[in-house]
Amino acid sequence: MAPSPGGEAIRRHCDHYSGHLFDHLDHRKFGDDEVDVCIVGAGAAGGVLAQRLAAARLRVVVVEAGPFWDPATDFVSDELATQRLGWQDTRLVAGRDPLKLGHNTCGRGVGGGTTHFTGVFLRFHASDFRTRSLDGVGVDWPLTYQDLELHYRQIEHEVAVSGPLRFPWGEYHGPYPYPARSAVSPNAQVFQRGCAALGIESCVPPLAILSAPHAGRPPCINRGFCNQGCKPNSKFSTLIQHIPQAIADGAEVLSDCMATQVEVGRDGAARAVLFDHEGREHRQRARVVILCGFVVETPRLLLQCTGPGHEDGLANSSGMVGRGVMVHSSHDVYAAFADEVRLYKGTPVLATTQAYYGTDPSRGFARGYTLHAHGARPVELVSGLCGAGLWGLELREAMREYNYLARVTMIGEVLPDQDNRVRLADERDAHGMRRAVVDFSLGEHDQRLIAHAVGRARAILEAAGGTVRHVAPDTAHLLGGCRMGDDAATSVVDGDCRCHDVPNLYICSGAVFPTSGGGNPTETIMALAARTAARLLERARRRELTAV
Amino acid sequence: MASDAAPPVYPGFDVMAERLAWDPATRAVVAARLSPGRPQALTEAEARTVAAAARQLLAEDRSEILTFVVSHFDSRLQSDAGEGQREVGVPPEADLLRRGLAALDRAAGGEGAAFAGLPAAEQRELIAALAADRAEPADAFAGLPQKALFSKLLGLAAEALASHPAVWSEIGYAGPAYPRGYYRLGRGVLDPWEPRADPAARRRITPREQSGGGVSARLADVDGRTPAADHQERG
Repeated sequence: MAPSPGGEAIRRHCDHYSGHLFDHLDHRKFGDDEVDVCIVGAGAAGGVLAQRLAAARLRVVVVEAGPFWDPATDFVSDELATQRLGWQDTRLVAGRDPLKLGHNTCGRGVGGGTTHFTGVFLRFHASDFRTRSLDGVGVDWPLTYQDLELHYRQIEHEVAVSGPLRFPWGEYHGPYPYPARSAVSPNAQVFQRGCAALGIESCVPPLAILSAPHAGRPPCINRGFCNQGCKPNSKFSTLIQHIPQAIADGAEVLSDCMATQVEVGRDGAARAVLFDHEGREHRQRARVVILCGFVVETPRLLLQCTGPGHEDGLANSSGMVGRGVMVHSSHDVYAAFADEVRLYKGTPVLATTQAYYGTDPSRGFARGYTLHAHGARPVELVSGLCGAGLWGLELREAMREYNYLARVTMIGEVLPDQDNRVRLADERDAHGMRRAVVDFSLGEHDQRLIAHAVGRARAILEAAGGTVRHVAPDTAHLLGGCRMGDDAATSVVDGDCRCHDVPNLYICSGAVFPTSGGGNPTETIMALAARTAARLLERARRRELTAV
Repeated sequence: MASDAAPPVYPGFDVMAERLAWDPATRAVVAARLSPGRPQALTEAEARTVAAAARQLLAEDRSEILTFVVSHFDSRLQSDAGEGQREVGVPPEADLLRRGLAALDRAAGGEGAAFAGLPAAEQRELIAALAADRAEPADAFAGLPQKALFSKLLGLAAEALASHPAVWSEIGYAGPAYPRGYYRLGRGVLDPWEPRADPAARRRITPREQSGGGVSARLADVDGRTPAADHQERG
């Protein structure tokens, strides 16, 4: 159970299926029966998979660690009280650049990270899938932009993405299903002015936020709390879209249920998911198991599933489970202006440039980054200021300048490094599971990219008339840890997200990304889930669901 | 201190006057911060040490804000929500806080809230030393990573400070915005319920130019000359 904003536990129904809501697990829809698919994690990927597979009339159960949020009462217009939308369970961190996790990078509860993402909805570029071939860095994906193109398009239509008439970068230039958000925040206006002065192209980004009514949901009111959970339901999340559709189509969603084990039969195939609900172990048998937990929890679960034939963890004959964890570098640059900006007003990201996305050899590093005008509320501001080394009087003086500050945030590609990894600690959590340790260090190449991006962010703010005040180091988005690839010796899953070692076990989330791209990853995670569902359904039609 | 001495940038603005425009769940969360309960998990001496440390960390004198900061520490100690992340080698949060507060008191030369009894300048010196990992006497902090303790104290204190409505009013943050939202988004255009800055305020709040250390030095780091220095301080 999740602590409420006031401290007392919120009790939510934990068993949901069409026409039924229970706050116990005594009347599970499928009981001891074997279902077709058990999905672990109800986030961006798990939600899409559940919706697709239930619509195809497969028998689907979703097991989610966190609560089934009610936006009306559980989401509040407050940063401190909504930290619980992140995965707060303690992970150990190490390395030269120990990661900030929790709300910064991970979701918990139905909807996963989509409940608190900014809604920036960008496709990866074709080059993102071929960094080794094109630039000699990272690794190629086993699939291409073309393999995801149809799914990008479908996902954009179902969430009614709002976007500009023409998006200048990458392979797709519009149109989008809904018009771009028209009134842009004062911070975005500063960004546009700075870009224009320097001749840098910028635009209102494609957003999973409504610019006009859709499916009974109203357009955005510029409340500004996208990262605290959208109360009007103007921003898409799988909590309000794909999961309810899956339930309507017959899926069962078990929330407040923490998966603790994938049970493996003597034949080496996955046969059930074990999970903990309020201290008691339960079991869901399934013909296919899909792990849609994120970058830390998926390797953590696999690494503790040990047994004959998989002594080092399930699906880990390559030794790659947990390896190649990536983030996006995400430094924030704050500049002060003579006139007020007011970073709290409007959707956080309403102006963007990908002018520095592709490789430019003259910059001295490969790959690139996206820059966003990015709003901030007070807790985020002080977190950045403290991270930049301020406290005491300096901190207070910087805070008093809040309404005069504009902010640009970078989303920078970070190259995969096998030593950036999830491993198991000796320390155990309340479920008796070993905690994860996440090792992370930025590479020298990553540092060069950051320095360039911070330089461009400064230039944009200065060209708009600002004086740069603070540069706050930060990261965003977790990716990798269960890389996809064609070679079973160097990757965990194939291009269909199917484990090389265990044919009826799939992993589908940002965890399978071989490289990070230089933009917000949610749309690619969802497109990948849609493609995985389509491939899985093809197999099901050929009656090869569990075949090796 | 700054918050008392400086004239207000947003004279007359009280964000709580808008509370009836907020949804009930948000209103309840924010209003509760104005009347925090007495500490349950912290001892009286620990609470006094937290308040004294927060006073320096935040340059904040107002007791209603410090009381809320203390209650935020207290609720962290009572909660079973995790820490999000913890560096390898750093004790779990409750342990770090409890032993850290006792260590501050020992370093101040005594037991039981001795830190609170130090003159303000000495409190600041001790905290600055903690941030630099060289607080004395070192044996008072035996086994405790000083920087991690500093970051934990500052992080919890600062997030509470930035969540207090009095601070929102002070910095001109218009606060919760549902069901109302914002409509006048043009630069310099305000919705009627937003705070108005005193026209003379801008000159007053321009921070002093930094002389070594602080912001300017960090900017130089990140500008690409010595990028490695930039992230070492992050943990």
